[in-house]
Formats: sequence, structure tokens, C-alpha cells
Amino acid sequence: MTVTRARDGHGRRWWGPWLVAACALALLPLVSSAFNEFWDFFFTEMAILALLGVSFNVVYGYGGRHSFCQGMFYGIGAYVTAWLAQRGDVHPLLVVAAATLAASGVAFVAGVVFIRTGTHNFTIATVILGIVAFLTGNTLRWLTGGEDGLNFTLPVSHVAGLAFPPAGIRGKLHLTVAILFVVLFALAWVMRSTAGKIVVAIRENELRAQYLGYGVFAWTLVIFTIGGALAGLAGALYALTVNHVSTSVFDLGLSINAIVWTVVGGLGTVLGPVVGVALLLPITDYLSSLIVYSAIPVGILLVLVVTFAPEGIVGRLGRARSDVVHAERHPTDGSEPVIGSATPGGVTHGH
Amino acid sequence: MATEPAATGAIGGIAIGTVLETRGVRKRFGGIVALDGVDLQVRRGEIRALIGPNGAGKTTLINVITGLFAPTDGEVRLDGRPITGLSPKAIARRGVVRTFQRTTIFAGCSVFDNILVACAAARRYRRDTAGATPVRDAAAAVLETVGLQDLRGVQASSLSHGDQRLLDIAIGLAMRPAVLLLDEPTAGMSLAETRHMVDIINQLRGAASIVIVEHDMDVVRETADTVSVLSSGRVIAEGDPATIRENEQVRDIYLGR
Repeated sequence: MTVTRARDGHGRRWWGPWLVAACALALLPLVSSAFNEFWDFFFTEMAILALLGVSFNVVYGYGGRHSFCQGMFYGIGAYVTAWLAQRGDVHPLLVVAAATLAASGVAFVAGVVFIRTGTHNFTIATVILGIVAFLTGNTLRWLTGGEDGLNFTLPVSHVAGLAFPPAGIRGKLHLTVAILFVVLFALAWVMRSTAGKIVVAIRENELRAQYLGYGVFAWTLVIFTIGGALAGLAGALYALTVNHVSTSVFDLGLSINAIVWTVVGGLGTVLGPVVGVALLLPITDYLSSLIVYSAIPVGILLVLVVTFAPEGIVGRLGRARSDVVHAERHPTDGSEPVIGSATPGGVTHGH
Repeated sequence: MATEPAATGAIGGIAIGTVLETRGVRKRFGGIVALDGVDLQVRRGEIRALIGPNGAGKTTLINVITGLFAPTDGEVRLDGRPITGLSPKAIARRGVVRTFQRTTIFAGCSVFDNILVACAAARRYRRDTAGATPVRDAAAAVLETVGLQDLRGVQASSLSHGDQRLLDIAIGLAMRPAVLLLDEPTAGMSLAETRHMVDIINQLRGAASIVIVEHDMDVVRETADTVSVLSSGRVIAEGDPATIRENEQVRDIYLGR
């Protein structure tokens, strides 16, 4: 029998790959100069939706609570951006901050009400909340503009010599990619910390965590609130990119897509949602140009992934990289870090 | 009985006293009386075995002590202060730590992280006992104590059953408990694993007061200072292992006479 070494990521130079990635991203302006407006927009959308996927991953992949209302937080972020932009007198950075805060505030309140109901009821409650948001958005047309939506432009102001929001779609591409990178790095850093280990431990066994004195409710509430903030931030970035928001942002389909991307990419792995979006968004876009029911092949892909690689693409790749050691006791040195540790589920295989 | 030197040695200054006490604890589930007035005094630093036939109320008693259920009647005291009806979280923070009959670990986490999380809990909630040692060093020390240091990077779910049980207890130990309640620690273990567990439990003597629910009388004989026999929700006998073995009433219950 062989035992899979858990990727607990205690290596000292874990940030090495991140440094390389940061250097590579610094060259993005060179690469993007070859893009036309279509690709600029396509990659911006990808980065924004990846951020939405990250928000779901935080709540479920790490926190263990299945949320069907990440799309709603995204919608709240987008609409708060729209409303404040329409006022015309709020600093654009404040607009984004307010949008993020508003979404996290709603997540906080929803969390206070839902978390104590238990994991399954929590999931159902988030579905209901998502649907209520969609219906409410369409009813309050005077506020949301309904399906026609709201048009607005965010006033541009300069922060440290840089225009915010950046002019043109290419500037917005650079902005969203930079934000996504910072969020991913922060996530990787937090999940390696003791606090991150506690979050994963609570996901793995709420009962035991409780009997160690941990306030499972409070920890889960914090995670859900952070998830709401990230989704709200994604919504704000979306709004300032397209300068238009309609109630379609509250479509439950968006929440479900965030789930699909994350599951395919790898739950509880830092890069999972990014890989999921990068893979599935082009496929979905291409398929929907061919057939009406493009969700069907994507659904089949999801079933295949869940059946044959439940840990997702990143989880599977990470497992392949992690050392396989014999069950006999012999010393193991500090383990090799792999970006995206703590994949749920035990992995034991025959020899 | 090895109680006396251990107790005074470990806790320095405080004479043998009762650390955990239940007074007339009753627990009724509908028409079923699971606990029918349990009086139990666990002395500081001792290892107390709790034995009795299936359905005697051993696990229910642990559940009541650790706050899973509030007792129907009666009181639980820790260091003389009532802890009756507090939440499991609050009771754990006061230093009453338990394990479960079924292995209850953080299966998807590494062995090291299982302990790390418990050491971090001790650091947060058991400030008076947790020293200045960094959490990671404390976790490494606990792994050393139970002999799992070579498996620190392994995912807990891929450990053998015996090692998972060991990890389960190590998690409790990492909390630096005042009282450690072990619910059938050797259940399902091989002979060799049971031997190892007995050694570990004996090593803990003095570091914490231990209550151990156990069916294996060899384990009881080799670890316990005092044995309390529970039957039909009452303590029917108490004494050192040798005395209990000779007790007619206890024999009747076990042999079903």
C-alpha cells in the first residue's frame, strides 16, 4: 500500500512560483499589445469571472459551505457601482470599496441567519436567496432598470499617477488581472497560515473543531463574508468594465457557472477557479455559437470530472506532483510546496 | 495506586483534589433513563477507567460532561466551578477535552496540520497552560510524544486505523487538557497497536487527569489508578483495578448471572 503525502505546504520557498508568475505578469502589457479589442475584453471577462469563481472556492472549497448565491453578491457589487457612479460625485476607488463592502455586508447578514441552520439547509437557503434577488431585481425596475439595465460612466480620477478606472479596455484588462493576482496570492498566503489550516480543519470536521474550542459559527461567518466581498469586487470590476448593469447579473446561472468552473478546475486549490474558467469559458462561448443548448455538453463534462477526477484539474495535477511514500515509517523531509494545497478528500491507492 | 506522587508531582503545590466532579447527574431520553444519578469524582492527575456493560451510560456521561447534552438533573463541576449546560466549545476552552468512539480527525489535512490546529486552539483558549513555545514546535513535540513524527506530511485519511486512533488522541493531547476523556481509545486496534496505546496513556499520567472508557480489561488493569463501574446509569462500584476484579456485583453484571 502506498500513502499520498498531503501537500501541507510547509516549504520555506513556497512563494517562489508566485514571484515567477508576478514577473511574467509584468510582461502582460507587451503581450496584450498584440490583442485586439475582442481579446482584451475576452480576457478581462475571464479574469473577472475567475474572481467570482475564487469567491465560491473560498466559501465552499475551503470553508465547506455550498453557496448558490455568489452571483447575487456579484450583482450587488455591480449595482452598487452603478448607483454610485450615477451620482457622479463619489471617488471611483470609494465606489469599488463600497460595492465590495455592500456585498460582504449582505453576506454577513445572510451568514448570521443561515449558518446555524446546518450545511444542507445553508445550501438551500442560498438558492432561495439567489432566486429572491433575481425576482426582486426585476420587480424594482425603477431602481435596477430591469432587463434593460442602467448605463453609467464612472468618473476617472488619478491614483498615484495612474488613471482609475483605467481608460480603455486594455487598461481594464491589466487592472483586473493585477487584482486577480493579488487576491490569489493573498489566498495562497492565508491558506498556508495557521488561520488557513483552522479553516480547512473546520471544513474537514466541524464536530472535532468545536470540541477543540473553535467557534465554528464565527469562522464560517468570516469565510462567507470574505466570499461575499470577493464576489462583490468581481461585480464592481464587471460594472466599471462594461459601464452597464442589468438584472441578468442576478441570474442563478451565474452562480451555477461559478460552481462548475471551480469544481472542474479544482475545489480547495488556489488556482482551480482560474483554470476552470480559462478552460470552460472558451468552450462555452464556442459551443453556444454552434448550438442553443450549450449547457448540455458542459454538464456532461462536469459529470465526467466529478466522476473521474473529483479533486478537479489542479487537484489532480497537484496529486501527481506530490510524493508518494511507503506507509512504512521513515523520515520525510520538509515537503515540496505545490500552489494550491489542501485538496479535500483522502487519497489512497493500491500498489 | 500511583495517584499520590503523580498528582502532587505534576500540579505542584495543590494537594490531591477533585478536578472533575459530577453530582447526581441524570439524563433522560424520553422514557429511557440513560443516567440515573451519577456521582463521580476524578482526582487530579489520576487515570480513571469507566467500565460497564453496553448501554450502561458511559458515553452518555461523557457527552453530558463535555456539553453535547445538558443533564436532565444534576451538576458537573470542574475545579469546583459548575460547567453544567455550557456549550462543547466553552467546556473545551476550560480544558475538558474528549475523543470519540469513532475516530474523529481532520481527515483531509496532513498529520502535522491536525496537531497544529489543536496546538493553535490551546494557544488561543488555554493561555494559562500553553507556554511560549511557537505553535509549530509545540505540534512537533506532540507528534514526537505519540511517535507519529515520521508521518507528519501524510494525509491523515491515509494513515492505518491504529495510527488514526493515535492521531485522534494526539489532537486531544495537543489541547493541553486539564481533563482528557478517552472514549474507547483501543477500539478496533491490533494487539501491537493496543500495547503502544497503553504506553502512551501511561506516559500521560500526571500531565492530565484522564478518564478512559474501555472494554479491554487488560488495558484497564495496566493504565487505571481507579475504576468506576457504571451499570444502568449508576455507579455501582469504585476502587482500584484489583479490587474491582474481585467484586461480586461487577462479576454478576459482566457474566450476566
